[in-house]
Amino acid sequence: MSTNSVTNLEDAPSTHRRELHPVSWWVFGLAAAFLATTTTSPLQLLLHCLVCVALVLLLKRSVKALVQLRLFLLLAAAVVLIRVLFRIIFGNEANLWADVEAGAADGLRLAAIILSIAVANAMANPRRLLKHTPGALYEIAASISVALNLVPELIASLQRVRRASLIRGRSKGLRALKSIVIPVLEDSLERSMQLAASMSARGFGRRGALTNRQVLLARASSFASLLSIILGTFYLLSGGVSSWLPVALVLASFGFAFVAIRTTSAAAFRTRLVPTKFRTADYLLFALSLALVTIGVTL
Amino acid sequence: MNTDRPTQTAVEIRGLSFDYGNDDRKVLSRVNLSFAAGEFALICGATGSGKSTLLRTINGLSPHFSGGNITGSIKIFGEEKLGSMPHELADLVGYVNQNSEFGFVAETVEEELAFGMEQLGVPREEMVRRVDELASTLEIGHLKPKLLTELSGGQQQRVAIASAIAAGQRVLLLDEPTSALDPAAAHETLSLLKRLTRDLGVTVLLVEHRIERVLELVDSVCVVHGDSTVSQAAASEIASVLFRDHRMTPPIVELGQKLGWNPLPIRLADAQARWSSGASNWSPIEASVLSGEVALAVKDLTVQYGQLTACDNVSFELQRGEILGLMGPNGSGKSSLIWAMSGFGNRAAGEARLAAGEPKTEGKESMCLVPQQANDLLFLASVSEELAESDRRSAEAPGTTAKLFARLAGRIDPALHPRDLSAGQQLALVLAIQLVRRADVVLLDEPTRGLDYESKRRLASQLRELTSEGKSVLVASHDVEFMAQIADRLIRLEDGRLVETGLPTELLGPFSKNPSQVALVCQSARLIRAEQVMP
Repeated sequence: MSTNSVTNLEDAPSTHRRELHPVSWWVFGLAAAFLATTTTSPLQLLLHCLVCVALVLLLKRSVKALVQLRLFLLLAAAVVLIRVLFRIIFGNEANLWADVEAGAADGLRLAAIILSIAVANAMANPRRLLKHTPGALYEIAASISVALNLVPELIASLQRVRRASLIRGRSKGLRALKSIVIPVLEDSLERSMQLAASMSARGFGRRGALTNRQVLLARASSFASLLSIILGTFYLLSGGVSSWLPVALVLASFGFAFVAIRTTSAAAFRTRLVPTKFRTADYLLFALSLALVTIGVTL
Repeated sequence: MNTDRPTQTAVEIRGLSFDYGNDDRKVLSRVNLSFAAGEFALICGATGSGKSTLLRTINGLSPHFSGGNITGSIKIFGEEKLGSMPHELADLVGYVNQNSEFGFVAETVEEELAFGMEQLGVPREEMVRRVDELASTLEIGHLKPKLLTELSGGQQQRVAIASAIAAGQRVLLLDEPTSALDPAAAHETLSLLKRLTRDLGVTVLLVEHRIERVLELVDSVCVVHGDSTVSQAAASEIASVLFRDHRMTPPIVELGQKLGWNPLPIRLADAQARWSSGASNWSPIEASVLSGEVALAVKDLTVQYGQLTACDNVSFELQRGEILGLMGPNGSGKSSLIWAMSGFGNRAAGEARLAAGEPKTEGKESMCLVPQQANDLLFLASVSEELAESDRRSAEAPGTTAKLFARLAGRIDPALHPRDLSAGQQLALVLAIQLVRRADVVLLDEPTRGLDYESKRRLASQLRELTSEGKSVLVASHDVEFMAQIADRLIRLEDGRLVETGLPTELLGPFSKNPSQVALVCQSARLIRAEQVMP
């Protein structure tokens, strides 16, 4: 048992089922989501959604992945529906059709983003990203990862609670919603907290000696990085504002992240049992992601 | 404890006080405790007494993850650690959660074992060596390349324990590690912990509810009384501290108390010697006076999830006025069976027919289910609102559920938030909500998790009362002692198949797979519960 393991490690770095690196999948998912933001053509967006669904169906056939896909699809459909309804209710009666069309395109765009994320989520549990975050971004990475983990957690408890609420008999209207939403939220939060506690208890978040000023600088620049990427994405999605602002914000975000990483990397001391290695397939996926982004920018 | 070494103090707690900052109620007040290196200590107490809080103060999870105020002193190997963050203590103290799967960070066993060491910056060569060492000590070497989700409950717990001490942590904290395990897996986990204290000198602090199997193994016991005080005693003096509190008397002690034994036995061997030295009167369980009338017939029930067959052609009958126990190891299909019977779960084939002869698909009034996580059904802000909602849903006169709830749980302030009730009270509330719809058949899935002995006794009498009204009850549980206490008959599943049906004396007797404690003490084929013995 214990004799072959060292050689095992050398030969096959975690080649368990020869899966791709989780980071590759999330890069791909985000690139696809970016591509979706750059177009308003309903046909192209519809195609985008279909490709995403096909990818999950082709690559992941576990029951759990299919159930999760169904919920992502429901969410996407709901978003489209709500967008269209809004246009009908608040739209201009004179050219209602044009309004509805615009609403549908808008909804489809969000649906395409949601389904792109669904691909990443199906292919790599967000929990797995956690191990691959750079040390400097730990606090933020931990919160994001715990928050991302909330999604599968929410889905799991949603299924359980919905079944449980059925056995209590039907209630109506707002109460029916409440009877599901409250236990689900409580349960998912509880679980995410348990994960965070367990991570902390095992040393996640330790760092070497940093001066107070360094800690402050790292925190401030991590925060600034996060804020500018959020704002950048927001402007990109909402459109209207000048075209250089979102780009500038994204670039600024990278700059801040670089500062944060440089500040704390001196004190990083984490080690790895199996050093992270990207293989050919990963690089191919990166190239594909880059292609998607390029298409999005140039189109 | 290892006597070759000079005993070093591992954890020293002085004047520890803790509160959550609301209504001035102290959870812990001026607590003094001391644990030697290599000591195996049990921390027990009634439901909601603050055991878990006490445990979590030692590595800083309380107050850092729970909020609250802490004062006093906690020294670990002589160094003051009060106020430290959990990650600052990670190299000294390992922690294992109640649901180990919620705490897993990685995907494969090997990555999980290494995660803690990676955070602590252990060099790679040493990490590889330690992973191997641990894997062979804890007999999990063959699991290393597996996915964590492929493991059984017992194996998951083993991996969680290994990961918690992988970086050489000398203190290990565990919060109810066996509560979700079947008797065999629970036993394995406990003996593993014993071995860690003996062979590796790890100090193990264990919070447990089902203490009957733990008392045998530990060196000392802390009792969290629930009034913010905690007492500590060596294993040999446990009885006098622990068992003044009837909420914490396991069957073996109940037996001793009933027969006036002094000192009270803690270990099985002592109790056996005591029992065989004097003749005692006891009454055999009356061959269950069952009605013979079938309340529910399950026929060829099969449950399938994709390729996996969870229940395979299961057939049995539930009689009117009977409590039928459903046992079986983790993953044997108990919950799937119960959900399929209720009509709300997956079902591939077969049926569950009520006496009336109608197939059971939607008649929610004739069968009710209390799921494993009973509080999934609670969502309102106060007990009174939940009770009123229940009346409304079932179209009963206002106050009907409240009356039923009072009968089950006694007087409880209706303004309380359902989440603030104890586990036993929550269970009673859900039971009342479900029963008010006049079901004839009650299905309970693992109802004793997190209940102390007194709550379990109360639940048993509640169920007895239901059967005396002609209702029938099916209980799925790992809890051997609870089953011995209440079941009229038992069925046992294995890999989705019904493998055994019989009386409790047969399935829980001294020569069975899961003997009850009293059965082990008395070694009589028809004696399995303390109640049967005459003082």
